[in-house]
Amino acid sequence: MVKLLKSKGMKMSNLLSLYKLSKSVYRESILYSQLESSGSNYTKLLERIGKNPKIISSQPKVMKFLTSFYIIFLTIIPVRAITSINSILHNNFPSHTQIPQQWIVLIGSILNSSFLLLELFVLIIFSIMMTWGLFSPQIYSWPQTLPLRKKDIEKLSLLTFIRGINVQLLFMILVLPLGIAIGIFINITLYSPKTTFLLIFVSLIISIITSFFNLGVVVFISKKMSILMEEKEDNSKRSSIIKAIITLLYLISSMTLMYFIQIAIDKIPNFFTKVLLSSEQSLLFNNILSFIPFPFSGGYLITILATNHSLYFSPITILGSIIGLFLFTILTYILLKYSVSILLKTSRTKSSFKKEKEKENLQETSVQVNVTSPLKAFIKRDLSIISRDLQLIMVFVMPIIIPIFAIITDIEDNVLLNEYGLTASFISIIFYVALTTYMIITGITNIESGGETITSSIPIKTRDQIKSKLPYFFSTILLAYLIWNLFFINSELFPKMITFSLIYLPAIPLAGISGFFFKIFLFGKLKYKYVVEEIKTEHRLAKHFVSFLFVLIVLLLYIGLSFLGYWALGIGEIVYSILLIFVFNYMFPK
Amino acid sequence: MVTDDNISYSDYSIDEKYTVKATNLVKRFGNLIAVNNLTFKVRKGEIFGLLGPNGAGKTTTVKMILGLLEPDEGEIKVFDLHPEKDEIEVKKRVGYVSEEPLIYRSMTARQLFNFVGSLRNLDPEETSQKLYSLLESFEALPYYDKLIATLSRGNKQKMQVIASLIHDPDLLIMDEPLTGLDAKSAKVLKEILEMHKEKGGSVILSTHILEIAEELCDRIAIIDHGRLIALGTVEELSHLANKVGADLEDIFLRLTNQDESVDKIVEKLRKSMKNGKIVKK
Ligand SMILES: Nc1ncnc2c1ncn2[C@@H]1O[C@H](COP(=O)(O)OP(=O)(O)OP(=O)(O)O)[C@@H](O)[C@H]1O
Ligand SMILES: [Mg+2]
Repeated sequence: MVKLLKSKGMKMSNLLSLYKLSKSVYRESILYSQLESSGSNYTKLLERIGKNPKIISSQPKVMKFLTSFYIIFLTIIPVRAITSINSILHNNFPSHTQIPQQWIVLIGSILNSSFLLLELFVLIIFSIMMTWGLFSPQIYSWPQTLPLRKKDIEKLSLLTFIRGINVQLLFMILVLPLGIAIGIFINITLYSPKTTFLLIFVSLIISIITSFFNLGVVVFISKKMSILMEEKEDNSKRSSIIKAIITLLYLISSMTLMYFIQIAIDKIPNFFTKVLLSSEQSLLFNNILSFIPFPFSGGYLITILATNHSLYFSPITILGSIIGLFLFTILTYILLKYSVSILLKTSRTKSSFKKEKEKENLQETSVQVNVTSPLKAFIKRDLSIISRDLQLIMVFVMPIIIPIFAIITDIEDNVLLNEYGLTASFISIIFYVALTTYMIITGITNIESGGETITSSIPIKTRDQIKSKLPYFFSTILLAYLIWNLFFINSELFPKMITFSLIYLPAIPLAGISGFFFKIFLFGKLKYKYVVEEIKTEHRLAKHFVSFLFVLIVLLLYIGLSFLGYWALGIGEIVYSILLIFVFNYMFPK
Repeated sequence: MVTDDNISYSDYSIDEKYTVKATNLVKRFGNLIAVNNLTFKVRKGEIFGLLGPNGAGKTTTVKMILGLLEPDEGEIKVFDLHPEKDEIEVKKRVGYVSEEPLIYRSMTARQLFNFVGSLRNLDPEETSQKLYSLLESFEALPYYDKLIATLSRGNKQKMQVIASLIHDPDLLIMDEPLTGLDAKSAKVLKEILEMHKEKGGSVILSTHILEIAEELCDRIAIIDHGRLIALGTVEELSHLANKVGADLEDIFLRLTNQDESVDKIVEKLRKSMKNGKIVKK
């Protein structure tokens, strides 16, 4: 007996020391995923980490905080569901008689289920970016050199993953019982201590099962992500486009999710009163849905207990939710086992990364150097870098996605226009334009910083380099700006708005280009010339901020000019262009 | 005061004999003096070694010669040009291999050489032939269409070296060029450097590996803590170190005042190794 205890104690301390060790593996994995997604920022990021190693862990900390915050925020859903049900049932609600009981059951259960589902989405959205790095076998190459048994290394991979989402997991387990407790507390007179206890206990059980289910799903998706994100040698252009699409989908779905959460929370009481289905139809739905293990069975069980016998539940619904929950437990168990095996396998997979298949293609390579003009060479180089760099692709795509999305979600209510008016709306759009313009400016500067060795040794005229960057100021941002105009399509001032926007249009690249020059002035002034790269990096943040302000102020000044009349705006643009050509020739002589 | 020959340093008449003249160079990083009053000249047709321990200031010196860093004091002339002011003229005639191969990760070698060729405005036919033979001799042909990010350290280094050679530079500046190269490629590179020298070109070779300096360099400048400690052929250096016939390692350690400390370290190591006997369990 003592022996057994001792060996168990040994095991515990072994596990504990492994958990401690997992800290470094975890850091390694974060570093790895950060570097992997950093693209042309690669060297810069390494340099920054060298200066301040804390930034490695600050990003996951922020992510942990954000995820926990959103999960806590979600608590509002069950709380509102319970209070709404009670207020309808206890006659605080005038039209109670017209609302069929089965409808209340349906909506209440769907709400509780949606909480469980949203929890999973939040976890996926905020965690995956942080966790897919955990699946790179590379990060285990160091622990593999330590005197550890194979089994321990496998355990290590599991512990590392748990370390990655420990806080989130804890919150996920606690938040549902907490929400239920709050819901009960608000309606304290309606619940006996016995029901209170039962309800909290059951919700805790459901919460634990769901949390582990979510854990399993995240492991599964992370693994898939890591396969996609791993750099493939041959089809890298394709893989970076896949990466970009994934990231885009990811961003869009996260924005959609946040949007729906907001709507849902706003309109919860309305769902109960807008009766769309008859009592029989609702009953049918209840009976079917309650059998679906995730997320409905849990949601139904909570609703059944929360209504505290004041509603009629068909026995099938009750049976369904219990059977469903049972199935869900089994499913979770299987998924968890599977995901643990995925995790355990991770440390065993041989790193395939950067293993060159040497001497594989021995067939004749034709070596033909194509010489073009420096300008064309720069443009070609930039395009080939952008197309393989996820972050850069995002920099150029995001400015367009955001307005499209905003317009789709706002088209019905026209919140922006109605609440802020035309001028204020336009100014906020200009703010957005300034922000994205500056993002693009930093993006095109970053392209330069990936190949110092080459660029520092070849004769480069900054003038050619600058010229090659100018097209970017006439593409994405202008498109985004024009899309924003659709915001005003419902307004009777739309024709006027369009005219104004078109006259204002030239101001946008002008502000962008001058901001670009201004940034070069702050960051790249050498003794005999200006360079695009960020050389003078002292007061880096302040310089970035000032250059951003520069763009913004130029844009706002144009709005100011337009108050004098369209003619003033036009003249301002012409004068400014001439000035800009002058500055260009001065800063970047032939 | 260490001098490299009898010609006075104030003499800046157009002097075809020298490729690089550095006079009283000083470079500070904050409080640290990375390069301290360095003076040397690089002749035409020689391989000039910059030798020194880690952090001695070799890379800093090399970067100043290229105009990548601005000296705080002193002056550099490369082909009688000012490396910062006449940057483009200088870079047209120089090939540079940096310590770290920071070449574009997300380009293939093919794209890289198209880029370099275009910016250097090289003749396509001639360059293609030259590039082919260089790639072939470094056994780098299979990687020509591979993404640079996926190449091994050594293969990245090869690409960097090749990129520094394709335009027939007069002066080669190489900072630890053999890092990561396998024996065969290292041999190829050494031969290339010798050939370059025979054609009358100059090479500045920065290294901390004594064997390489001894094997390749016509003259060696030993730098420590940013200061020039000795300059001359291996023979002259051994004379300086009062150790005739000694190898460069002894000379180097003697001149950088490290010979005694090495003895002490070795002694210490011996003791600790004795204490910690390897015992079979
Ligand atoms: N950008 C910089 N900022 C601050 N200090 C620097 C910078 N670059 C170099 N140094 C310092 O200057 C000194 C000389 O560095 P340098 O890189 O020239 O040495 P090195 O002789 O090339 O060494 P190694 O053999 O390791 O390459 C070092 O102490 C280094 O820390
Ligand atoms: Mg160095």
